[in-house]
Amino acid sequence: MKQTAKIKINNLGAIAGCLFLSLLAACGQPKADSELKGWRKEVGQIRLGVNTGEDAATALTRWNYLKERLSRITGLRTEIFQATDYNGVIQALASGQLEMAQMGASAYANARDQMGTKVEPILTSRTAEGLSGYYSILVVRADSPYRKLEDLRGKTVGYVDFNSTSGYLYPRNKMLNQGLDAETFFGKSVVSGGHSQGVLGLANGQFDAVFALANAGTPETGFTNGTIWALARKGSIKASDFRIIWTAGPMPNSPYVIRTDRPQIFQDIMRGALAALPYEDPERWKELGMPEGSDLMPVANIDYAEILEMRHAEVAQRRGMSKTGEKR
Amino acid sequence: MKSAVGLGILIGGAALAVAAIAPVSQDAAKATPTLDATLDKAVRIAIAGVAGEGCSAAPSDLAAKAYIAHLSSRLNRPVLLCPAKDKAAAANALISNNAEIALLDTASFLPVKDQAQSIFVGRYSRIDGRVLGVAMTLKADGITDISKLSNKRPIFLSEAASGHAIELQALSDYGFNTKEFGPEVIIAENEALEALRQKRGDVLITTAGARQRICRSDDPQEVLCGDIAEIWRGRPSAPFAFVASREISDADKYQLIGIHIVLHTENPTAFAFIEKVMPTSIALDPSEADALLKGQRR
Repeated sequence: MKQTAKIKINNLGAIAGCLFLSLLAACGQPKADSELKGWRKEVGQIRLGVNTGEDAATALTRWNYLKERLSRITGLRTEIFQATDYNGVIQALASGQLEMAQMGASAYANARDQMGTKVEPILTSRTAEGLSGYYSILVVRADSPYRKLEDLRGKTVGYVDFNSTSGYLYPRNKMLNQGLDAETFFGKSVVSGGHSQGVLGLANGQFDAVFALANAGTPETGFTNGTIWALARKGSIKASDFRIIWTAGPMPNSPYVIRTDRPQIFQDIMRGALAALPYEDPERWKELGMPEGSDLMPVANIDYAEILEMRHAEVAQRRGMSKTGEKR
Repeated sequence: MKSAVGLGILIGGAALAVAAIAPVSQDAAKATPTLDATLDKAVRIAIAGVAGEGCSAAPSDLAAKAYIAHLSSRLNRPVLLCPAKDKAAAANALISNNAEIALLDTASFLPVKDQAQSIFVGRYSRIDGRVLGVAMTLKADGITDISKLSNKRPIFLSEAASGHAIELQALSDYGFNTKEFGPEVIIAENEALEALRQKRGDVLITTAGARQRICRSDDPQEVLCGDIAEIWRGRPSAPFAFVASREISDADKYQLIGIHIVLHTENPTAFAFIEKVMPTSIALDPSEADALLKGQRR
């Protein structure tokens, strides 16, 4: 975690963004090296935005390695800026305090709505089998009576974050397509702040059910990776203590996004430097927590069109909710 | 060697670039070994089988012209397409500093493998790339490498290319004659380890991703594959690759990769040239440095 500016953001909206930005300033932005020339001088430094709300240790291991790699390749000072919620990274990117970030599809849609074409997705992960996508799962405790979605009518559900794809946007949209308005279907809705927090809250009895993510599989084959499995492998929970009663997906994997007002040469180098890693050093790729044999595939805004549409539909619905996510 | 290869270098503006085909002096080339160090230096791409004589910034072929124009725009420096009489000549152009990139195959890459590296390769399927495969056996069976797989019965988890044909191709590229396998069986992923232990087959061949899923327990204390040996891991060789000098700067190398892996979506007209010189490719993927080698890789 060396040279990592740790910033905690808990509130949503512009206030959180401003707080994030002021904290960035307080941490001290690196000054451009006076010896830099050309595109390097124009870029000055690389600031990478990381949301570590889910699995902080793994995410930071990966990003610290990427920081060193990108710095070595570009010759530019590279820093990681860490936020604990999705909106912190979105606001920092939108205000030009970051050059690049990785975020969920829904968070990207939010950033895109704010920034227009000043932000573009460039890469996302693809499995060894050529699949790109993951699932939202609705999880209950195994010792609960809940067996199907209908059993949760009037119960308390935990969402991950308003900007979470699998933990908020996507499952709500899919429920609506099934004729169930999540706003009225659940008795109480609470935002947990992260996938792990949600599942741990479920284990502690805070929620009757939570939305989480699952990948490395399908509803037909079963899943072997995602929130529950990551927590189980860390010894925090037992996977068998939970039951999946509903799934939605697949949805597009989280993209690496970049500000397009940075020099094109910089954008191309960043794309190439990231995409080459799983081929050049597959062992390191695995150590960084990436699925073995996976790689990064190029993506564009059009690959997230469905998520953008979902977000636009969701924004209107959200207006009737309080900041905590509880219904008024 | 340079005159035999017939490649020239052009430095400076586009008009001069089109006119001149004289080879650069070796001293001058040595003084500027990387693209990044010479931002105004032309990037020369040596490819066999393209029309024309001498390097050109404006080849007559429309797709080639679009490709060169796209690359020149993105690299912000002159780019020249340099026809080579064959791939060996293209390789020679690369190592004699008469080209910065060359399109090679395994045979032409072998003589220059110590000086050159593959940087991106063709992708021939939207789903399947050069899948990273593994071969796993029971430790107790004492099979330590793929040379000992003759007459052994392979277990596959899928008949899809990503879990079957691509691994067979990769094993072949690594030197094992897959016709020497015994009869194969297809087993569901969640039964794979038991199938191996019950001797329903001798070697489990699958993707690295499936191996990770099979061997990873949800319980951190539980070891699922302690009795299993991974005896091989690899990707199939690439039939063709764009190759650069091992002296190329990182920034230049990754810029080239970053431009090319989105070429098929950003500029389909330019990508049509790639389809001509790498037939049936639908996109370009990054690659390991020795992607063209067969049976000699890590």
